Amino acid sequence: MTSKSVLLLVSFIVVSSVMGAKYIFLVNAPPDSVMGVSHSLACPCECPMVLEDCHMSCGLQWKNQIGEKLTAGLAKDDIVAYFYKRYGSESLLTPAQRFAGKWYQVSRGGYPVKDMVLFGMIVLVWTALLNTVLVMGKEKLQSLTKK
Amino acid sequence: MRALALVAVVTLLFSGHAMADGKPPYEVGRMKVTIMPEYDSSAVLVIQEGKFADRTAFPKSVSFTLPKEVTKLTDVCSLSPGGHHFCQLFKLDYGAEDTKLNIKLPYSDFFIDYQYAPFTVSENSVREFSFPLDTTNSVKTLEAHIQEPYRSERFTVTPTPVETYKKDGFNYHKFIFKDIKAGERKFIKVSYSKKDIKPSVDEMYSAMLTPSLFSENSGEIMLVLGLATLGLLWFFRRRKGNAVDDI
Repeated sequence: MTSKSVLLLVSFIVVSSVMGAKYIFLVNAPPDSVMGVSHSLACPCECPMVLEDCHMSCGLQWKNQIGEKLTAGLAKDDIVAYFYKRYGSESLLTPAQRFAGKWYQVSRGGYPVKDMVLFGMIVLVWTALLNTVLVMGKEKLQSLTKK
Repeated sequence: MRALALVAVVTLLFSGHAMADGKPPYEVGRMKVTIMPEYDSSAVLVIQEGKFADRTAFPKSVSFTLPKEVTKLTDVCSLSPGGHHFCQLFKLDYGAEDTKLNIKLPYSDFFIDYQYAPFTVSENSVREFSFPLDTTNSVKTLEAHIQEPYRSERFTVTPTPVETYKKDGFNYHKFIFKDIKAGERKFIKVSYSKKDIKPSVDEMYSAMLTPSLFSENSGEIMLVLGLATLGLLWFFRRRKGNAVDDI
């Protein structure tokens, strides 16, 4: 494998990992919203989804409970703690479960095609950008070594 | 006589093929449709769930008919006897009068959840719509529940509901229809007026929202920023290369 291919591969892995981690682990919604809290909980419907993606009746019951607790003035940590005490560790997500849940959401077509295309284009453009920066850095290093 | 027998065999074969191929209509045993106007957005939220009568015939392809004004189909899922949910890939065909949903269901239980916008909201206005019940497949018992939006006035539904009840702070109107034939046209007319354009539930406390990959225009901004930086780098590299060539 040439050094150019290695740099391109490294760029792709770094960019797709960062973008993937942002999508899987970071939440767009504020912590005092139902979406913000349900990002931290597992779907109770015996499916691998994260609660925020779950629209089944059992998931909606949990989300309604979150809404009631938020309007009663509880903070995100209190609500997550309540679910842990009430339903045990199965209500929480390990990083692997979160990854599996989000992958399930993507693979079942849970997001609009436009968003998926945009995600792919961002990964490609930023891979090209990082690759260019790495190539420039490598060239600079080589010129310094020559001197 | 032989010709008649041949025709009978061919007819049987074709009808069998149609069944195996998943051509509707089929019979739905029970179906429940919950219609929530202006629940957490300015559209109407609809949840359609039910069970096909012949559970042994699944998996197979089935069709549903949704209103033509569907703006977002959130979920199409099937439920296994063990309680596992299988949300499916689906295909929507937008027609002039309605929207066809084609899907392969692994189990006879189904769950469809979508938003549709039969009216535009404005302050101090009357909202009216006629919801077409999905009768693509025949239905033994169809229950419809219409939720009254918060702060709505002069709320009326036609035909007359069998029951009006309260649940989680909302008023609901319940309808029960029996032995509906496939293709039979059934509508529920809803009319109410509202002074404001806010939905019943604040988006912050809505259970029905789903997360998006990008918040607002952040995806587009990331893409344009990346392209612009890439273009600048390419430009400078090219200029630098030309300068080296000139020397």
